[in-house]
Amino acid sequence: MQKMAGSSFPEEVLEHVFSFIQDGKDRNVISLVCKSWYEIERWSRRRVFVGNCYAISPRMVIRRFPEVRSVELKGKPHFADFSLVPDGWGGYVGPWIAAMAAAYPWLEEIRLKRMVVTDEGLELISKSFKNFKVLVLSSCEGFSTVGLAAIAANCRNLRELDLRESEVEDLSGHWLSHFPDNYTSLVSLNISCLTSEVSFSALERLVGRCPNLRTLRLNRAVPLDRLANLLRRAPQLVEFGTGVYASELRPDVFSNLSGAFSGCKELKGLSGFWDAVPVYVPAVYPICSRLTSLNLSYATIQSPDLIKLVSQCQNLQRLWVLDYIEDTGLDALAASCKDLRELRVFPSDPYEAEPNVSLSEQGLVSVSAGCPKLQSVLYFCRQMSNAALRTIARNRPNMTRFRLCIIEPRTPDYVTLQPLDAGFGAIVEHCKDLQRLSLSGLLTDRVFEYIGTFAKKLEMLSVAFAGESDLGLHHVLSGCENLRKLEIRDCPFGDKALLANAAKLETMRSLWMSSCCVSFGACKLLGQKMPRLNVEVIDERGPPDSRPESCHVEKLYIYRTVAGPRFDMPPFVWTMDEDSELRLS
Amino acid sequence: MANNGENPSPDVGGKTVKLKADDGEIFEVEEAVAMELQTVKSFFDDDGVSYDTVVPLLNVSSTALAKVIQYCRRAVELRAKSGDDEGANEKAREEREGLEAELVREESDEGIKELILAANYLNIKDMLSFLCRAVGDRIKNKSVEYVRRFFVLENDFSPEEEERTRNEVAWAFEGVDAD
Repeated sequence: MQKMAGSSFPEEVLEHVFSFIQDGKDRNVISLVCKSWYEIERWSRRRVFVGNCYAISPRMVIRRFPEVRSVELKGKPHFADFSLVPDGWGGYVGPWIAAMAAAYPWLEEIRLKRMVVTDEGLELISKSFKNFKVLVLSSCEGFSTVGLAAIAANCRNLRELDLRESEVEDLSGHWLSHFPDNYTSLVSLNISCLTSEVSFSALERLVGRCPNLRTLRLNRAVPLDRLANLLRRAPQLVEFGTGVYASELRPDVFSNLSGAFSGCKELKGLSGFWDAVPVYVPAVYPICSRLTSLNLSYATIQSPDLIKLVSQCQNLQRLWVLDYIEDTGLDALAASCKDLRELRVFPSDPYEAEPNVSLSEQGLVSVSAGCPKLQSVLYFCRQMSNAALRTIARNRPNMTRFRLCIIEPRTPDYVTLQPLDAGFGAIVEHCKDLQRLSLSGLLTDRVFEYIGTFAKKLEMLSVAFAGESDLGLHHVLSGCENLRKLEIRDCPFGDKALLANAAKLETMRSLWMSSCCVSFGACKLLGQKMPRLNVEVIDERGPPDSRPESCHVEKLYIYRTVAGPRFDMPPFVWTMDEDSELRLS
Repeated sequence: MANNGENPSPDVGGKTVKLKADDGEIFEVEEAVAMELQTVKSFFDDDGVSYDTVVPLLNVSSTALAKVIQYCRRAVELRAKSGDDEGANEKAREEREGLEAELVREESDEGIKELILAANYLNIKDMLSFLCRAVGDRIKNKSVEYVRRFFVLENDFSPEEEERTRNEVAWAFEGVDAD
């Protein structure tokens, strides 16, 4: 009789099974099964994701996973996107690149988010990894086009160069010409964040000689009359981002462009459209029915033109658009785009007190009713009601990401003038798989009670100008079992809830609190009690111990780590650690 | 020589090979099919081994061997169908994937593990590959305890080692969705 025990599985067979398992969570499970599996798994893990670059050191990652081919790192906390993290806070990728250059000669992919990258770092990447294929720099900064030139010149096997939303010191567009003439392996290029002109002829030649190019996102500086030539050289494109989409109407340019778009039979995603003018929008009509993704967040076209456009996109799954779309446009969206999964509506004029467009809660209600697959929402608006939120919740219990941004802080239900607690309560109660939530409007501690009670799958919560007392924070920390990231600004949350739930913080990736009521003394106590957390006090007013301990800190960033305190902090960041003395005042 | 329903006689006229499972049951198989099993192919590649020799497959049960033969027979047929015609190729590929899916769907966890070990021992590349993928699918999104039970494995970490690994794993390597 043949023995059935799993322990008789030869190592190479296990490796073969593991080769089909790429997801980080699953790999982590495998590594915990038993000691031999831990070993087999660590030698065969090819992809590593580190959600907080300070949670572990490069040395520790390399020691554990010696044969990695793909690394993804995240640096600054999310609120850095709203300029709440002062420059110089950290998130330097330099030490990682240096360590990997020595340890991973076969590294193929680096994906970074909110990290500081230098030209030296880019040059080191370009020279250290002979088989380097993918570089994605999302919301990064610290480098210039000099670094990009090094990547272009040296990475012979590069497939992807994606600079999405990074801040690049754009010295000239000449870097693009550094791709050698015999370089043909480009699959994805996203330069939409660059400001200066790249050489058009270099761009055209590059596009023309790369037959596998699937994604091309141009920057604003590429004029509209250049698009047709590029499209005709790359009819196999799947995703395309235009440059500035404005020009005087010329029939020949229009028909040339329209023809070029039509020639791209695989095109499914469009973006760009800076300063779009209505007369050229119809150039994309021939391909609308194939589109699954449309990013119009820079398109200044108004509702009637937007309606004509989206009404033809029956297969649309993702729409990012300015609030020029208005409620009427969202009604049209709800009627035409039954496959919609994700909607983001951005404010065209957020600093204006008075609304400049006719966009209200009704638009969102419409879409929630008409689009059965809608799962992910980011919605900026100026008014909301509990009734509308309740309706949205009942319509879309399948919602997984819900971010509502009522522009003016502490805005109540515009009908009843009540807080919006009940409305958000309905959201968390009905949307049982909700993973991400952003709150806004007038909110008391009540909303946090609802969240703590119902939002059991919630992983990320963003809170601003909400709550009344520590009870609010306590509800969230004690109730949300799957909470990973919590970011809070301008809320009256303080020491009590934080200290009472200190253990919870070790189960989360990070907590950010700015302009709240947490005292320096509490920060020190937390740092002392919890050695596996880094408790960072960020205060640009000067050293916190030059003020009374009861004084509130400006900003607080707490994250779990196995790497201990970091040593690359600027003068306005202090880590509270075990050595902090707690003076009794 | 056993000749039950699982082991139909091959067509008359083709050369055949005899394979013996661990319980002594003999399977007579068309040569083309038998050569799908690299282990068998190597057996005959040795000089001086006549094709009449019964190949002893001591590590494979008759249940597993029957299924392996059934799969390989179909795989050989499907490969014969495909040729220069892209359409025919596509159809053959789809049929093969359907065959694999059916085989996998019907197998219990024990059965699939047994088949993997057989495919590994017999060195059948394609079969081993889709079986490994199938097992991979069965242990995705599961707990550590579930995977241990599936493979009948003991946890040999000390409590401290386990906690240290769990922490390192949870704190450094777990993902949250994109911002």
